[in-house]
Amino acid sequence: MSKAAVAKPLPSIVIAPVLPWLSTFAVIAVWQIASSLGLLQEQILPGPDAVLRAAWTSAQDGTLTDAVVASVLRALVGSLAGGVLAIVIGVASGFSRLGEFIVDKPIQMARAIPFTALVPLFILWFGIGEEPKILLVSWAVFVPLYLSTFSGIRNVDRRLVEVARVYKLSSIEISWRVLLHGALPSVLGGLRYALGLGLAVLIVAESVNAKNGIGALLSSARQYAQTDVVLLCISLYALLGLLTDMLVRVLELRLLRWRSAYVAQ
Amino acid sequence: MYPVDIKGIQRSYSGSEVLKHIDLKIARGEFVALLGRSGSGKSTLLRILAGLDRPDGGTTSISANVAIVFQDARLLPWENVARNVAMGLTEQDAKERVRNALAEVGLSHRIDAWPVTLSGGEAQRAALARALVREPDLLLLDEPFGALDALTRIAMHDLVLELFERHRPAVFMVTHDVDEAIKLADRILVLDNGHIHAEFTVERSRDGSLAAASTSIRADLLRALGVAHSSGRSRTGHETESHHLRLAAQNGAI
Repeated sequence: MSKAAVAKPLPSIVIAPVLPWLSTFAVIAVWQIASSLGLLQEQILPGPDAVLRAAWTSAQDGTLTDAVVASVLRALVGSLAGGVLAIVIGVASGFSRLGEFIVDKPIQMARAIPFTALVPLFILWFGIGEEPKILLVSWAVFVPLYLSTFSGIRNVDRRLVEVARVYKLSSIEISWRVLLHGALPSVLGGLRYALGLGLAVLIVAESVNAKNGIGALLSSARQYAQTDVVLLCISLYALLGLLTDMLVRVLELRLLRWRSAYVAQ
Repeated sequence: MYPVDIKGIQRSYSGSEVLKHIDLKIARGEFVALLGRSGSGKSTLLRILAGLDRPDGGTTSISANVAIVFQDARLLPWENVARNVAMGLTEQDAKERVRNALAEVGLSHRIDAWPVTLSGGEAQRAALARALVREPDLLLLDEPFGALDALTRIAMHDLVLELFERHRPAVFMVTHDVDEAIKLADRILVLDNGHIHAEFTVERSRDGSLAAASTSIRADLLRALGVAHSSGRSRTGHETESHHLRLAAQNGAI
């Protein structure tokens, strides 16, 4: 047993946050090297430096900022509306048989409709303003979040509800303190998926018809064959996806503390 | 006014009559234990008293101020101990009362703890504090010590007796442990075939030990439960064992 054989490990506090990013950085580095060596055709796949340059120029003339602001606003408003509605209706239908009869069946049927099929319909109904885009995002967020809220509530330990009933909590209190909290792990899992889906639907809606937004930037870049801008838009969506994921993670850390308490001890 | 006063209670599930005709009165300060084999309807009766189930027939008069402790503590895992104990309290001084209740069950140091971090005994103490904090007229215990290890169970028996002496609610305890029933209850009922099949009063001397007249109660109870129990030797063996446990508990060893 030689001491030299045991490599001194880096302090985990230094590596831990970096580790998950290593593969991403590696891919970008390889991409950049290949591009700099002239292995990639500029028209087909410009390098990361070209994408950064495109970001810089479009930020300079304001098109990038406008697009991001427009898309983020739509995503926020749509997700918030769809999300709140999904949780309220999910709790109501998870809590009562009547609620289940009224809303669960139609939603179970509606979930089978591909979102893209709704785009033309929403445009016919609401024109090309903000409404169809926000509604599409709301719908895309609502469906999966409703489903996970409903199933989360159905899986809450009924014995806890019994205790709450003996101690005379009102239906509202039971919904909130027992059912919704018990369903949170499932709700948050659904939220992560729902927000991702909301973004995906937003891309589609914005590239079909929009004066602004990342999707609009994307489709005009396609028309003018600006591959670097196309790549920039794709990176922006990736970044937004990453941000929503981080948001859900923060929510999980905060709201599900009680679950990790045992491990933390 | 009895916290529990029910007459002719009847309850069927899909055609089979679980409770046929139950009359029961429990006064404040009375500790009643209900024994019965599995499936004898013990839990159904308790659930009716808790308001979690409705009888199909009969009249019930049950105090509105009911508290319950189940075999599993049933604390909300996402609320700390203090919030769990305070469940349903609306009084101004709720915080103060929660603190006092937790002190009474010896759990003051865990007031901010998450339920997952509690041991089985601690969780049951928290459930007991949650029951007592509202000064119930009727305390329902559904095999509350069933999931605890033997030593913790003895400690909990003593705690429950102590709390019972102090607060004097009407207590209705469902159990399948004959010794536990003898140790805790003033009155023991045996439920069989949907009826109260036998009833025993436990006489105690002043020091809490069983009066001479009640020493044969264990054998009588086992007979009422339909457990064959003819061998005198094994009976003495059991009694010696429970006697030892009682002594150990009295000495404060546990």
